[in-house]
Amino acid sequence: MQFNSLVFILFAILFFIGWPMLRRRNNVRWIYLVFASFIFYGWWDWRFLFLIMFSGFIDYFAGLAMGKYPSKKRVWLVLSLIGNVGSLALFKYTYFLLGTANVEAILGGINGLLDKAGILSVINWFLSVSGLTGIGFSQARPFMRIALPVGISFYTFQSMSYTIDIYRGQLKPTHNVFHFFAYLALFPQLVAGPIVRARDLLPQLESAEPASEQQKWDGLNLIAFGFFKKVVIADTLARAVNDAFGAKAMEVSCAYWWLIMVMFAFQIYCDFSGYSDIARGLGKWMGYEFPVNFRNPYIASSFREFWQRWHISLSTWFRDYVYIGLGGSRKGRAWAHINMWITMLISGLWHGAAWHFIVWAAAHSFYLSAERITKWPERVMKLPGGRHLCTLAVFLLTTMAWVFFRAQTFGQAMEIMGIMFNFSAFNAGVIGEIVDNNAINVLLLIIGSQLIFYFGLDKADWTRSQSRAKSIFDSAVVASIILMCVYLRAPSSTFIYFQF
Amino acid sequence: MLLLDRTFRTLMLTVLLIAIMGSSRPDRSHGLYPSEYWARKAQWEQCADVVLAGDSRTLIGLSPVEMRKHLTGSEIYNYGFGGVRFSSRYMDEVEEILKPDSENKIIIMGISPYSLTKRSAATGTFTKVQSMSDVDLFLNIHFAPLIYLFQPISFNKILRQFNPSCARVHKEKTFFANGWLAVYKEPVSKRKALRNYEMYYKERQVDTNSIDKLVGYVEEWVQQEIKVYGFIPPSCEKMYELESEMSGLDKEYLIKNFREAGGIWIKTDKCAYDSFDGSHLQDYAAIRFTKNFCKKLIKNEHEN
Repeated sequence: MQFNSLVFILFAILFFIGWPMLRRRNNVRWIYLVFASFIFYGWWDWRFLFLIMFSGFIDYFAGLAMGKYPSKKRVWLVLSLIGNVGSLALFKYTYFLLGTANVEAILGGINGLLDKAGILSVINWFLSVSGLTGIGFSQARPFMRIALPVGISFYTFQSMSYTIDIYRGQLKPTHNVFHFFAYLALFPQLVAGPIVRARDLLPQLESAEPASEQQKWDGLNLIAFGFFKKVVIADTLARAVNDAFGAKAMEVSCAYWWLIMVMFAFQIYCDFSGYSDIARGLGKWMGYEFPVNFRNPYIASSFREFWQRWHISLSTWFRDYVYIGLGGSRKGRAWAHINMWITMLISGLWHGAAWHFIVWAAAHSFYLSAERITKWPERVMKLPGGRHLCTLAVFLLTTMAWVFFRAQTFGQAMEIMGIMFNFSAFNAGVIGEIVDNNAINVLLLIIGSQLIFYFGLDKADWTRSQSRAKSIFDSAVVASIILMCVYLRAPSSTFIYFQF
Repeated sequence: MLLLDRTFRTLMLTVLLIAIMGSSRPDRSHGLYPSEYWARKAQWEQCADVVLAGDSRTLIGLSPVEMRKHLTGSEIYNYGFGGVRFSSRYMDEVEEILKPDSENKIIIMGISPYSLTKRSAATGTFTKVQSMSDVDLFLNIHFAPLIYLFQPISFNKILRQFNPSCARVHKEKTFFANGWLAVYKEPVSKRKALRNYEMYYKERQVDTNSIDKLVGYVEEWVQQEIKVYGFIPPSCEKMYELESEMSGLDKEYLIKNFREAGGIWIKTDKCAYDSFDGSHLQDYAAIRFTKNFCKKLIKNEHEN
């Protein structure tokens, strides 16, 4: 179920009614969390719960085996990685690696063999009884296509961090299977992060402490602002962006496409960070702390800083388990660049099995390499207004890279890039005619709010005041934000990162 | 203890604000609530002497209220739907709306090129409305004010409430119980609709089979002593040119066959009325068009 749905609101109300009573004893708490999380995930398609269990059991038993047979822990780690990467490869990358035609030919061949052997009718009977039709199995031809389970990249990475940490001696395996699954499947961050490390969350899950008053208040703030980012800002911008990318005839206006790409930059930020905020808020209401996933990335004045502010839980995951695993910068400057490129390209593939995601990652790798070699942000920063120039440059270059991320094909991305740099066809007039002015309004609103952080107004003395007036003011702000979520929400759409 | 909790207090304040906001919405729609309007339309059965059928141009362009002033004594319903196609399912529903005991059954068909194009019957508002479950219909009719309480409000409407000059687009919709959807929008912007239609007709054109099917229904209705009128709904000059060039509609073929099937064709002035988007009429233009249409209808009656 989606956070921005009525069914989730009802689910959350029921969950938090039961939580104070059922959180007191470890086993009861963990079983309750697993039960609720499985309902949450199974709402999309209950059959994919078997995949989570498959992935989870591999890592649970691999963890136990590593604890019991430390001398063979490398073998268990490799088995765990094969299981996790294998399920990712099967469900997410089969079409990309083998090509659609080849996959269809393979599936067709399997169907033919099954048909000849008479197994097809037995399978059909089994499928009809077991209800497996939704995950790529159909009655007429059992292997039609391979469907992508929601959030597979998130929970697979979370699961992998468990075994890697045990292998590195940074974590002791849990012996309670419910404790493990409560960590792996915890519903607030199950499908779109933040990716929480086992060493951070497993100890928290052992605590029966209720949420403090501060946690409840912070949780409400995060949930309210998270929903606002998603349903008011991201969903409003989504309409303009989807219209632009879905149009049969591409609008040939440089100004229009720059505006659309700036809108997409904020749409994806608000969509994803909104989800993370809601997840963190729900976590706080349960008494748990999830890591911060976004720190206003568009106010970064270098690409290095951008990646310290964008999707932090994934960036640090890649840094710790891939970049450092490859040797990081220990082998010299050239290797540091190569390792960074490899890590970034894998990160591109993590987002989606398509070339345009790889090009997006390559663009960021290029930005990072160029920044390390030329140190341009440090040089520009010394000029008057240098910080503003750096921030603007980073934002515009990031926006350009988003073209490859959002485009449906590489060809479409190149066509848009061509229009964006055809300044002779600037034609700003079309903006007023085509773009919904609600989208313009929310774009101005989010840019304005980012400027507050950019100029550090959020750290002003009055924001830290403990006075009664400030408390009333904060309550009024949060209540107004929720009110806006109710009345200014755009038609709902799926969170972008669910597809990953 | 709970009352002292800041989180609880804030949530209570929110509930209060929602109640205030919902009960004093700046965009209180005129006529029925939108969800109620569609749900009621889905339930019409054997209630009309005159049914107006067609796509959004008919839905927005013909006012039963105005029509009743000229065709006195008749129950008139506008059964137009956005994006509707003259499919068998739609035609059967149109027929179902007529009162079986009516002495003067009339079906007036607004036939736009768009409504004759070949495409999936599952598109458009008609299909959505028809597929509403009984529970949805019940809720939308009986709990319409509550549903409306939580409906989103356009940012523009809030702006307009506080400062009319801030809002760039002003759009008013009135949902009439007899099925008319009156729309007023300013400023007028024709580019988007024209462009959409241009793209649409590049891919899909009028299907002769659709005309033949429509004519078949006309013939059947005429045999059942139902008077059937047909016309092409007005839009704007550019749209008229675009549709003449690109839609593939052979008007002569349509009109000839419509008449041969026993239908009465009403010639309309296609470009004499104000449109807000190049395709649909402003509410005042719809009233003027309805008035002129009725005059032609009455004239035709006298001539025959």
